[in-house]
Amino acid sequence: MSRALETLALFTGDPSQPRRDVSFRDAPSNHLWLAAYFPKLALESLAGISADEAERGKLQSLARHAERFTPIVSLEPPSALLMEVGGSLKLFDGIDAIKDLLAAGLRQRQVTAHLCAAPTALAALWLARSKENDVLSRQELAGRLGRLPVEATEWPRKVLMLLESMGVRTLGECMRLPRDGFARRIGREYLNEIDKSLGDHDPRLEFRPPLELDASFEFANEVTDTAALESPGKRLIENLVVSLRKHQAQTQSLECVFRHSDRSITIERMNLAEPTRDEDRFVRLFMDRLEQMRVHAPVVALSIKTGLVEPAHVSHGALFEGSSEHDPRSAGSSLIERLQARFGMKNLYGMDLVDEHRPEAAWSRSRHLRHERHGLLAIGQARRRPLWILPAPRPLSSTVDGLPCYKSRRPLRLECGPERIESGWWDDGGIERDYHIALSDHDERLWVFRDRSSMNRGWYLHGFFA
Amino acid sequence: MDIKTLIEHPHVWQGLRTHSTGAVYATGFKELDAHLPGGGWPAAALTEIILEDHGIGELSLLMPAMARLCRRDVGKHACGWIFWVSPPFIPYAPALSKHGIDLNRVLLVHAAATQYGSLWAVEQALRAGSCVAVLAWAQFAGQTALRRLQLAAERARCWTVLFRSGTALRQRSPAALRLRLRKLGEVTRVEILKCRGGRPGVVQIRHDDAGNPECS
Repeated sequence: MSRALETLALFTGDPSQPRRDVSFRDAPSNHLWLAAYFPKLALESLAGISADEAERGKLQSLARHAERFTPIVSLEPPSALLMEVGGSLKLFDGIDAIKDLLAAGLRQRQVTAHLCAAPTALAALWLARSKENDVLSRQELAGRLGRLPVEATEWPRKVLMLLESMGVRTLGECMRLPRDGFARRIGREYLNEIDKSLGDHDPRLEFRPPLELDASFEFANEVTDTAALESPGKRLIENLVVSLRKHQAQTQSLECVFRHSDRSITIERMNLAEPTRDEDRFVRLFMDRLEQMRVHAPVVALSIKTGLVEPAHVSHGALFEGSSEHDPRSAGSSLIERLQARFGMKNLYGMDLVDEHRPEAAWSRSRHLRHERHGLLAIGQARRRPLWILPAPRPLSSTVDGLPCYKSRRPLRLECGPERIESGWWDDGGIERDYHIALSDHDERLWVFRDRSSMNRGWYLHGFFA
Repeated sequence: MDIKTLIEHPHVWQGLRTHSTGAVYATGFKELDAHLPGGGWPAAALTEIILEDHGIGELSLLMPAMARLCRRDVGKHACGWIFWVSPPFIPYAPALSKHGIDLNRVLLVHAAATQYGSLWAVEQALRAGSCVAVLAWAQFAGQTALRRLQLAAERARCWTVLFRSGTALRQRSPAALRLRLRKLGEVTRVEILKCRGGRPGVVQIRHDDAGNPECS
């Protein structure tokens, strides 16, 4: 069809009737979707939800509230929820009752919402966005949807502008466009959306609340000695691991919350190198942490909860399950976890080469501490470089002749040099240095340089040829 | 456990064998290999190196053996770390890589925060069995701590090198090998103070590249 004909086709046909070639296959007729649209969600702070719930996303916490009306809740980020309430109508005595209860709950959380029910999920969503009333019968659906502006779909801006340039302002006008032309010029996915809104099969991702497990223990009397916390901690971890196994899940972090008699709390978070449900590993980490902890007030309760839980991929273990210690890889990562837990992330690192002329920038600390690192940068190094480098160049005193001294008044013997390194003027770390290899009185071989960029052209020690 | 592993177990003492040396890693220096029982660094024991100054060839001494460890790719050790515990400075990656060290295997921890942190880190590393070599710098190491490390190194079959300062000379050492390094002009003087299965002695080592520094 030529372009002119296509454009002509836009304006033909009876506006009250959807075109026949927009498919109208039957979705289960007893379905009723309720959409909740939160126009100002990003700006509102929700009342009555805990801080860590807020962290996980406002929409999720609202979905948890919606779950009391139906098990089928679907998130429509960024600002809407969809729930299938067809099965709950009888229990709650009608859609209006459900809407009232939901609205009351949302009011408590101080969130603005528009609720709207329709036989299909997308229709409910689009109607809610346009603040329309419920559409309860399928016969009305196409006509009511047809009156909505295309903006209700929240399709990408580009698509909406294209439609506008074609003179299409409402969904009804969209529906009356020829199908193949619409699919070609606007996009097949948008055509599919229209079909879905009218009753095509529309599979939706169901909301599953993130799983977190916790266990807690209250002490009969106040505990001041960390050693006394060991066995309750172990028991809690044991319980958690049992639950993890039950859910076929694993986790990458644990959070221990110590409640003190003065009502303060201490939170210790332990991160693992990889998700696991290895009880021994958790226990070891917990013990290490306990060993270092200073308890400022007696502890009255201890609770441990897992971080986000994810499904476990159980490898084909040996027939007789052995301890993880025998697997060098898992032993390696458990070593790294323990070192990290005790000395902190910043004190544990690997090394990578960097193709850089400045000596201090020619390597980098690598935090990716897995054995399976590949692809090492191969950099040709013609010049001699020391095996020890100082974290930062150390200023050296100098003699009247302008020679450097190290640990004594006698000047160093400069063996060779200078090697001039001038680099980095494009960022803030510019250097202008003349490097020398020098020998000290004690026959130590040093890497020293003279700073040419400073006024006094001072000497610095930068490394040792060890 | 078969009879071979049983015989090689560090706790089994065999009267007939004069040198129960176990595995060694060749040092890469002929003079030193000749002096050490088995002809190299004890691969499954503690070596103590005592030195006062830095930059006297203390790392170059270990580099050939370490580079060979990196090239070796045998089963369990295929993924072993070379673990540096509380080094006094930072081992310089470009130089390490020039010496043939696989940087993917280098793991560093600065454990200086607590007095015994370094020793704890060494012991954990040995217990985990995921390192091929452990190089540690520890100032305070009591008799018991050293004994623990020596046992752990034997059990883990891991080449463990402990660097200490001159004050350690006053202490008896359970280490399998104890060296003292000094620089004399162009050579590094390696004094073998104690050597299980061998004799004390002095070896002078010339580092190839330390002797005549090419300036280009």
